[in-house]
Amino acid sequence: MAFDWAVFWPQLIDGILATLIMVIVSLAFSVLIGFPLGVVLVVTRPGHILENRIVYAILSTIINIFRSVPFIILLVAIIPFTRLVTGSSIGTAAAIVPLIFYAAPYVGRLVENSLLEVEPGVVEAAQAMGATPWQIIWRFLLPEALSSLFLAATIATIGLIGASAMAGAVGGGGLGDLAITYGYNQFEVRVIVITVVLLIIFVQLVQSLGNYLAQVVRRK
Amino acid sequence: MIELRNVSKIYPGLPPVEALKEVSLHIEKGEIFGVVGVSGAGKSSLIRSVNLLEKPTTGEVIVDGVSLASLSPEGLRDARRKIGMIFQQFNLLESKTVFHNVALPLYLSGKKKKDVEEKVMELLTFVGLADRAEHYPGQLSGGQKQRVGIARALATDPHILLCDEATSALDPDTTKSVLDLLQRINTDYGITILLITHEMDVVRNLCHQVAVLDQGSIVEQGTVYDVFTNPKSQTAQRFVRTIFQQELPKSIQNSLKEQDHVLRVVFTGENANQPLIAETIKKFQVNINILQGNITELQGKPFGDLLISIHGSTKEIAEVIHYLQEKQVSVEEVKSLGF
Repeated sequence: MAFDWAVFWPQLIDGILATLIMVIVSLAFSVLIGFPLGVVLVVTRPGHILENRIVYAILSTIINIFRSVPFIILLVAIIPFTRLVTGSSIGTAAAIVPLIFYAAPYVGRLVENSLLEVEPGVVEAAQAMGATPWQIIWRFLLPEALSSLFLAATIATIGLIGASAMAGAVGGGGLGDLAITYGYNQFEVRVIVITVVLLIIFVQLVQSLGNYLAQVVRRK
Repeated sequence: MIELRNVSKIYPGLPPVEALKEVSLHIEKGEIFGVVGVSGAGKSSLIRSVNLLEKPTTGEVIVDGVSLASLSPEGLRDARRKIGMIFQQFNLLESKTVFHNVALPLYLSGKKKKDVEEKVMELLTFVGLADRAEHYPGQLSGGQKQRVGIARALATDPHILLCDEATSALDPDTTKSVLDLLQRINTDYGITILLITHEMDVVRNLCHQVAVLDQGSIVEQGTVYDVFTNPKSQTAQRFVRTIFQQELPKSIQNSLKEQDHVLRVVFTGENANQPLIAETIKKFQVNINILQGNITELQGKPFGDLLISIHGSTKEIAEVIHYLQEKQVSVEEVKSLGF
């Protein structure tokens, strides 16, 4: 049976859209969850403005646990939860749930690292001028870490592009799904090439945008 | 104004580090007070205990009559707004303009935009950086960054300015201009200044009072004039030597003969202006050779410090020493030259 390109092209467009939706939606939720996590991880550290060993230890452990589980296992392991949230365990919406579980702890660590790069002296100066913990976070830590945060967001997005392709394996749709159903199962090398090239273009675009934003806010 | 009562700071660990040992200090309003010590002496812990960036393990810190430890977190933040601080590494926000950096303390206390603008420009004019308002710290020299730090520290009209090695990252010329600025802050605004440094030169040029910190304890304290002209502790002597007496060059040490006596002669106040050495030579017929000398001014008073070698009999030399001491000059025989 010859490969039917007329059927494939519309599917490719759908695949691109599905990938974009998975990445954008799961990134948004991951940042929503991971960003506060990262901030809390930094300020509750020993010696920091809201030092709290218990909170720090608990959060850090939970994040490590989620980050240790390979994505493909996580995908399957949380199926009951996914079904509860989306009503189904397959499809694009269903793939977004494990993607958030995968990326939120990751974003948390990335934000933590970015904020830790800020000179401790800046926090000290903020305390010396009578800033509240909230002001220290918003007016000192975040502006100083902004450039690094943009780069962290870039890394998280690219990680999600890769993971979303894997979500295709459980019928999540998207470019990964296409590569597996046509390319891998039907030995259609040309489809593999097309999807991989598209993923490479995505990654390049995201990285360039991230670098650009990081550069704009960087004043050194 | 600032009072430290038996302040100790112990960092837990194995073994625990005792950074401050029962330190007591009293700093008067309007004074410029210097704390000098080598690195690791506890200077940094000391200055940070004054605005409670470091909580003393025991002891009390009283600023403007209020014990800081007794304050609520909010009360402490209010108190800190009245204590400006500048840092060795400036600690400016690199991502914000000079204007924004100076305006930050005002934004924090919720000042109106118009008031902020006026105040910031006034401060930048005072530190001589009005034309750099829209620059970023990365575009400034070290000295300019410290001026921004000073403007920022003054934004909340503090009564006290803490200077944490404020000139240690600067070259000598820049140091001089920053010290002049601190002097103006003290004279024009009457702000009390507490500074820590390892550079005796900073103390000499700026301070009224000085305390010498060694391994967490204050080993000597007094007016700059007294401590410089007559240091009592070994640590203070070592520090004073860093600016007044360099080690005698080897070639000169070697040229000294067995029977040469080396004396250190210190003139203070009035007698620094008199030609005492010339008179001594005329009167006693001894040979005097000046090996090293330094005449300077401390807090407006002259101060001289000479190292001389005398060739003569033991009796003659004893007479010379007696004569000089009668003239209110401090004389001390130097036994070993390798300091």
